[in-house]
Amino acid sequence: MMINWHIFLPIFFTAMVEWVEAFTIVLAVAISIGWRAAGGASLAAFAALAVLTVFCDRFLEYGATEVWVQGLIGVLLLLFGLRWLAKAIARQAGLKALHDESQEFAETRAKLERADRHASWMIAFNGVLVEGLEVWLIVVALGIHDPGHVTAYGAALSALIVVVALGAFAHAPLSQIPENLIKFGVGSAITAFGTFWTLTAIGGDGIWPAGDWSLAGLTLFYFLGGQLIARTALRRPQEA
Amino acid sequence: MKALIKTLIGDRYNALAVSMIVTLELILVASGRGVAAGYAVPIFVMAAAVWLARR
Repeated sequence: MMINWHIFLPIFFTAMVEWVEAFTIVLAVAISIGWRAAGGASLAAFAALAVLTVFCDRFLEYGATEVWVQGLIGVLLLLFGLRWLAKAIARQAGLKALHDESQEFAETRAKLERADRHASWMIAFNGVLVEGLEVWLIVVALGIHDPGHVTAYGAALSALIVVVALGAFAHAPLSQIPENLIKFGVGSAITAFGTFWTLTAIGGDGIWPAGDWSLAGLTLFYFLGGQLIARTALRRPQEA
Repeated sequence: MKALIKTLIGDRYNALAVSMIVTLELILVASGRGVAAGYAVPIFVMAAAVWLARR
């Protein structure tokens, strides 16, 4: 089977960021209530996620025209991508603290110290479910032209395997992954897809000046434009 | 449920920014300025991201 790398790579990197966040939460919970309970919570979350994805995939297939699906998913991607891009710009400019997995790990541990066993289980369950839901949104949105979403789901699962393998090897929060740079790139790509699809759904296929190549142009524009603005206009002066 | 809605939509400023973007697209296309929309919309989206970043 040929892999469509234009679909695989963006989904792989986006999913990786989300799985790192989920893994950090599960790791913190596992230290408090043990790997068996934390793993059980994660499996339960994956089961809930599987039911949700099957249900939603059927809903999208049932009588929805491509234009409507593109428009709807375009709006979801804009809602999602714009947030990422804005946060990445704010972090790059020093307006917001860099997202630190170690800090998230410590915060989750502090929460757990105040919580009982049941609450700890729920923290792991919710963490995996919410992060997994974000992965599913990306799979559906970016895999719209992927028959059966095989490549898209393959990318998301590959990212999960890589994160779990890295986590098992490192036995520590995965803070060494340059999260903000990945988020900058992924946020730019998702925002580009969102912009492309919403305007295509409203104005038709011929509305973009460079056709499908406009997608690459949009991604570059958001990435480079965001970096430039973050490093110049928004840059917070460093204290001496 | 709250976490689900936050995952899908973000905060109200994010929702406002996206609704403004889609409204701009609708206005430009409906007024026959589709070609201009291809250039104007990305600039507006970038401005929206910067606005959200400053919040």
